[in-house]
Amino acid sequence: MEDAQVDERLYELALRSQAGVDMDDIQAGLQNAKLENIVNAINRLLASGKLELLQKGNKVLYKGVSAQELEILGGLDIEERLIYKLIENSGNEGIWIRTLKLKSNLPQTVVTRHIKTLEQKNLIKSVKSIKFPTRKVYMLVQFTPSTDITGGPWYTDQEMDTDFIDQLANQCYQFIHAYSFPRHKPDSIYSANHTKYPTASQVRSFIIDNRISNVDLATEHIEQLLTMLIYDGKIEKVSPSFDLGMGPGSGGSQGEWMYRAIRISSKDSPLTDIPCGRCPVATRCNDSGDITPTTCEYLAKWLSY
Amino acid sequence: MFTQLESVCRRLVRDHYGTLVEGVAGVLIEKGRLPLGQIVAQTELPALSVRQALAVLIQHSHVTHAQTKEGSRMVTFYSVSIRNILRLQRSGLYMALVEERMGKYGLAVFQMIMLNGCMNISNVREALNYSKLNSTEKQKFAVAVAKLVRERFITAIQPIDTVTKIDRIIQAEAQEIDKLKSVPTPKDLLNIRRKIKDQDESDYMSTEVVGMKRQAPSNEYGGTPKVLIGPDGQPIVLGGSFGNGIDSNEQPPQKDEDLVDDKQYFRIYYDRLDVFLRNKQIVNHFSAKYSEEAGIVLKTILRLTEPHTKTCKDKLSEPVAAQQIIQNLPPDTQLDQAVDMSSDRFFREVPGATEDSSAGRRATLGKMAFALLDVLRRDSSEVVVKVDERGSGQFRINFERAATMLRDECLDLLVLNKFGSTYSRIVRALRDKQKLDEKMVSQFAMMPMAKCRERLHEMALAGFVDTVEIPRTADRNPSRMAYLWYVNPSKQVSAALRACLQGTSNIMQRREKQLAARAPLIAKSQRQDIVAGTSQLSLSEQNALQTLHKHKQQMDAAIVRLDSMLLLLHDIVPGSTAL
Repeated sequence: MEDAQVDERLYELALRSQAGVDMDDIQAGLQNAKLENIVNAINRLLASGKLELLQKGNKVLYKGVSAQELEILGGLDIEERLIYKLIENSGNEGIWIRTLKLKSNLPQTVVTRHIKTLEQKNLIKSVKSIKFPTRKVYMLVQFTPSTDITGGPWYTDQEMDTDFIDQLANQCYQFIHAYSFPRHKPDSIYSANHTKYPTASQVRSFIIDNRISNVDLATEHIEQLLTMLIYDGKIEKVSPSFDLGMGPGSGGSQGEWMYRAIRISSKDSPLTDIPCGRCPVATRCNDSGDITPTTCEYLAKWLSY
Repeated sequence: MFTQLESVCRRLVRDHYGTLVEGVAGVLIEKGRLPLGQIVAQTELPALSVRQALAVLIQHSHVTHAQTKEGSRMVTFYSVSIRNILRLQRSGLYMALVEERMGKYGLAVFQMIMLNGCMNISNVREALNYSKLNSTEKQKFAVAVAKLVRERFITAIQPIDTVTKIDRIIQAEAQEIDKLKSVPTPKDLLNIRRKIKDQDESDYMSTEVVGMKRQAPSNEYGGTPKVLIGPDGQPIVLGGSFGNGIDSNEQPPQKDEDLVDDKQYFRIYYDRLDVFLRNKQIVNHFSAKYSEEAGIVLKTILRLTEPHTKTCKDKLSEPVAAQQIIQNLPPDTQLDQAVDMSSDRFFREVPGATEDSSAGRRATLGKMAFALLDVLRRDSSEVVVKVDERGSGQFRINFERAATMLRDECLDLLVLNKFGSTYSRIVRALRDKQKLDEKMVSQFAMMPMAKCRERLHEMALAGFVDTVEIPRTADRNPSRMAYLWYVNPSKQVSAALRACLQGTSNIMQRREKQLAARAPLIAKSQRQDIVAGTSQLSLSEQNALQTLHKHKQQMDAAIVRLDSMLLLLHDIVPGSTAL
């Protein structure tokens, strides 16, 4: 078998396997080729950048570099290629510059320079992590950052979008409220065995069906939102009914927590009813001195209200 | 003790008993347990005046005394009850409660005893011109007195009541030690203390009503229906198969009118009155959460358990049968539309429950009452507990949980109004999840970490949240420490109570100032010729008086409302200690 043929078949073999091929696989794939020819071919392919070396335990694996990738990497020097590969391996989690320096064993200035070059060539991008707001992580331009980095649907530009959360929570509350009390008798309540309170998946369906949000929301995201509403004292969790599959309303919500709205009373705390409850100088208020109840302007205003 | 407490108590005593008594009470509040000599020295008042002031305070159950041997002589020490002094600001609520449940004669007797601290019934009769009443009024008066005693709105005074509790225990312990022939061992002491505690508890649990000439009616529910007068004056049906809706005009048997011992001295039983106020708060909570009808059902349960509930120390109520609850619902109760049963697949229509017949109406009422009981029982607070599944089941109220629920609700409302909704969200998340780091708090409260941190620190400064240090290394280096946020209920209560007492003190101070500034006008307005209308006040004086009256009302209402916080945060908690 000629050298060119060996090169070609070896390259094809290495391209076919995503995880890379070891020497045994190559020998099995190229039975007619001598070991010497195979070794020479590997060296030629490595030199031309068509193969890359991987290590898995004690084994050395060879992975083919696609033509497209070859075109990208073609214009890069060895160090840049190394940096590119490390960034590529980090996937959609990204890699921090210090980790790059550690893994590549290159000085910080060199790593920074290569990163700049790769950014200029539009091969990599920097993303801010919500986990570590002061750190920039790098990943390939084609990757979408993972939710661990972006924070999921609640984050816009690495910032928690509280307006979006509040609007969505309000919609969820209204939906739950509508199903929490009998429509024709709003002052009455449902019996303890009522099983038609909305579940998180039903709330999700409501949001998706009504196109309330463009962001793709999973049921756990809705549950997170509903938990927030529980802590706001607006709704409460109702234990899943022991649904026996009887009747028309039995499908879909088996074993899922239900949510019902709580009637919100407009009560005020007796302490905050008087100015002393919200007074900014309450800690300095005394029987005598400059700040005293007998001369307090807030009390005067409260009494004249 | 809070620093603001002294100022509030002093002002309350001054308002009710004057400056002389205030001086004596103030010293006892500030210094604690003192003998007469030291009180005289501290107040710089004549010994006679101090004795008279102490007599007033003892008469009104604000001060207790105890004798202790010091060398060759016996010294009497005096201690003040801050809790009882603070209850002075609740007197309006107590009177409204008595009027609602006992009627005008009950209120008159109650007011007279409250005014004088303690009185026997013959003196009350004399003070209220009993002899001028006609026979019907006399009978009503006697029934009211009997009800006040039987329902423990007032309680007989025993010599032991004016002795400080701790001294009482020490004396009892000394008596028990004297009975021993040898020096007591630690085991002996332990047994003695246990015996005293048991005795104290059995005295507390005693159902005997002191001050009645014979025993109160038995509380055992027999097979035949028995009608008793409830605490609110409504008849209560015990046992039997009585139908619902007793005619309210039909008078229950009144055989007890002359049972109260005329010579026995009575005082107001404030601990018992707090039970009614607490029960009212529980009913209000469930009425607001569910519906008025749910509140009515709960009120009926509480009404049935009230004869057996002594004070707010009781953690659980007596069980009440569902059938009994339904029988004792107020006659005019309309529960037809209370619960929507259309989606209840476990509900079965009661045979013959037609809306027209009386049997049908009773069946509907029973059905709705059961449904409401089920809703209350399955509430997340677990205040209403079903204890027996036999028949329609028995229900009891868990007062400890109810107190916690009301306390948390009060604190949450305070955080919500004082800081804002996001703050109360954080507090609720911490209460639910116990201990969380900043990141987790921000995740549960769904707010940016920076904002969350800011809010947590703001609330920590006010005492509403707290941190606990978790060392990562043995050297407990602060830089390697994890800090977890949590809610400490006792610290929260302390912060709220401090603010509440500060607010009360401030309002009282302001009220005093406003009244003092207008003292000449007030004095003028109370002159006989002005009251009689013979001489008129000028327009500006009338306006000033009107404004003053409005301001005073506003401030009085604020003080009563602040006191309701004190009730919820401290007084109704079963294990609460002295302030």
